[in-house]
Amino acid sequence: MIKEKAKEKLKDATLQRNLSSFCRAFKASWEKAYGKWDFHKLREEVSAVKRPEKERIKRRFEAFKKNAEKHGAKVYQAKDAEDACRYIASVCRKARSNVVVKSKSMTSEEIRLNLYLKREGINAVETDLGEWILQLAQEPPSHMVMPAIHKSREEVAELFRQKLNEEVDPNDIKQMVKIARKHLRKAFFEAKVGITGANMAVAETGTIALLTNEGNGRLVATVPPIHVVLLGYEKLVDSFEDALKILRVLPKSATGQNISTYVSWITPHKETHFVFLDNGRLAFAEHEIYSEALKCIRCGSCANFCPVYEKVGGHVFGHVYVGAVGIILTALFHKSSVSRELLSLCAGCKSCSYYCPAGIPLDRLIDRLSLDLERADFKLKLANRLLLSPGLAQRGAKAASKIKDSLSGFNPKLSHFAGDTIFRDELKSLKTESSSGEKVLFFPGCAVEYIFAEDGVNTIKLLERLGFAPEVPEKPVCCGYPMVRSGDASSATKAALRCVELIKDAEKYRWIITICPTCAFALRELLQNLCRKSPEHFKKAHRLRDKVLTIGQLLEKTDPEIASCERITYHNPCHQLKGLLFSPQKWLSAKLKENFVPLKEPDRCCGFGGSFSIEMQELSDSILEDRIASVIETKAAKIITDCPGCMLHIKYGLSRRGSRMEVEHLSTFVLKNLK
Amino acid sequence: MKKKTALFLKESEGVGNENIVLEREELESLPFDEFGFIELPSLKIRKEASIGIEGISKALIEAQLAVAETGTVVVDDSDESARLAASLCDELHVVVYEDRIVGKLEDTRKYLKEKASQPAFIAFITGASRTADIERVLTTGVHGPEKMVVYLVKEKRVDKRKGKRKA
Repeated sequence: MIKEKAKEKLKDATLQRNLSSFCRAFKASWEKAYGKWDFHKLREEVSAVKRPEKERIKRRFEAFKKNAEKHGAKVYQAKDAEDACRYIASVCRKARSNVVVKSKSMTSEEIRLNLYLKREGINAVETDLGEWILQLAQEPPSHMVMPAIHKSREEVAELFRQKLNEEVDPNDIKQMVKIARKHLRKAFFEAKVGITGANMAVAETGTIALLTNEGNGRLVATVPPIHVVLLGYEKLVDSFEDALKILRVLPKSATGQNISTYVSWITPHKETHFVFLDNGRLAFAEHEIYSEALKCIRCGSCANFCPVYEKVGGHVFGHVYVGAVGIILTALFHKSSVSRELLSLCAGCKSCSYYCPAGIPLDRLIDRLSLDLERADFKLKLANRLLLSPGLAQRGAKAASKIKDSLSGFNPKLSHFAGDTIFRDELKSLKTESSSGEKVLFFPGCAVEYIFAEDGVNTIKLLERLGFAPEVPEKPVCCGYPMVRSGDASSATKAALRCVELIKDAEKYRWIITICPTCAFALRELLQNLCRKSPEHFKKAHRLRDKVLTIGQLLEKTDPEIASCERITYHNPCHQLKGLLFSPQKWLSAKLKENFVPLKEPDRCCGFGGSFSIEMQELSDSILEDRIASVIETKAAKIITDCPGCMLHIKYGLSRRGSRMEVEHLSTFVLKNLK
Repeated sequence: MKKKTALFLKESEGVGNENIVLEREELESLPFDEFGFIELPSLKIRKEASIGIEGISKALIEAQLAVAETGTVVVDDSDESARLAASLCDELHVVVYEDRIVGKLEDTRKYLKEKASQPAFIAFITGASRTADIERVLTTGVHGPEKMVVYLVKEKRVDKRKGKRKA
């Protein structure tokens, strides 16, 4: 089971050290590489260039074929893995090439080309150092760009000793590279066929671009007399102009380099075979949302920025393709059942989408896949039903608060899910002032209703102090996000319809305010689509969408004055920063001046992720530990955040470390410190 | 010095290249004997070598363009022996004429398109052959050059249409 595999990886100290230092170093070089560039603008351009419409793909392919054939190249259209392998093997046989050299190609991994060729008696030698090491170790790559990132120098030295009979000091990496150079140089000259992928294929001239740092790509394309290029249709672009746009982002997002050392632009000049792989691509080019995955430029940054990948690596969080896009591509090109398992590893932090240089909304693709594959098991479905029956949920919440201590003995994390009171009880005793201010709707959401009642009450008071006349929906209502995340389609639709019904006349409110960015994200971005089967609800969902704000967004707009306070720090909830693309940190730090201490790595996830925090507790706890370490480092008296989920998790994390730092919701903090 | 030139030199140094800024005359007095392979169309110098599995120690070639943004040299590598020499040498030395430096990657578009209308192999080269595949330790010389030297020539190019001179 994937959960067990993840746990194993958490115990692998070498892997933990390698991945953690890799991901951190990558982020720093990513920042440096993008430097003065406007990342969002660059990625919009790439996203437009890679728009995966079937007609465009067809047109590009025809142009590429015509131009490549003009120079004598063969262009073969392979419908699936078997077809592509068969064609490539026949090229090798005809050339009497028992040894072929390859430069790294994920597409060749996708079709398991090496295995096929081996069965045909052809030895395919990987020439990328990392891939070659893995070939010696008989392991698959664990990363699209850094395939051997999970291997330590000691393991490599041992491998060289066993497989190559080469003794080498594990600390002498330079010598290891020399050994590889010697062995691989021989293979280049033995092979009669060189197989590469292509990073871009330029239709206007029939040219491919090949990026490597080692220079193995250009050697594979140069030394053997025959060049085979295996590529998916999605690698096609119209022009050099478009290819250069991809070139600008690909190395930056792949390795944090400005550019890869070698970029080869090859227009057929010797015996060349282009093998275009379909394997589902042409079908999914027509899919309303999965087609987005065809924009992928294989940079691997959705893995590099993923807090889960950082913990378990690509052997667990991936199939052939790893990380967030790997979840999707596994379903598209391989098996849904594998993809279904991978889905349960996603913490839902949206880092993948936030950093995707091709602008693929990976989080939405993942959510949609979760729903399409009905990921939710019995337990998750039961929990979702509970949230749809407020009466039952309230009784459950009250019961939980009574047994908080015994829950703590069972699993300390669970006790943090229990509040002291429920929101609706508190609401009864709340005296609201009649106000002539603008009407706003406060949307409490499940976390406030059942766990953080006090923050809900404080928000109503704060809204009044800010001059508004707040109202709340007459009954507890769920935004539907837990159902979407857990892949429970029928409950998600029910929740969405109920939500629209209970918000009622959205027109009469100036704003709809939440203190949970997840609710805000769901209401703004998901609700309408979930209501697509009911035209009436769909229309209403559209009307309310633009009125939704988080309390942080409202505070930035209204800009109230804050009295001085103790030293505080702030944690960005992922769904606000990476989902709504907003952070109140700037506002907060401007108000608090020297009393504000920023957290290191302000976009790091706390590892909560709703049901993920329980389903994958060890993993979730491990992600949390990293966040807590930087929280404690600030030596602040209090940490502010504006997501009840993050609050819950950080409270738990701090208590585990025995820290007495306070955790407070932004809403409550501002209310207490208003001037 | 022009802004583009300064940026090119900075980026080139950033990837570990040795940059040598020269006058046109100084270029002619480079120790050509030290190179196993030379291809300098602007000086009409070509020194052939058959490149085998052992590679060669030093190759000297000329860039058609250079990109300031990335510190890249753009080489027409369509000639196979020149490409093998540049790929399998221990040290790659590249002559870059200042007036051939463009600011941005997209400024190479026209050149690429023109070249690609015929069978061609155009290489963007930005530093020595490198890997970080073992524990992310940066190591050069994995397949090709361990070192790259750039000669930046501060002058306009001479006419190259006349006959070739053997070195």
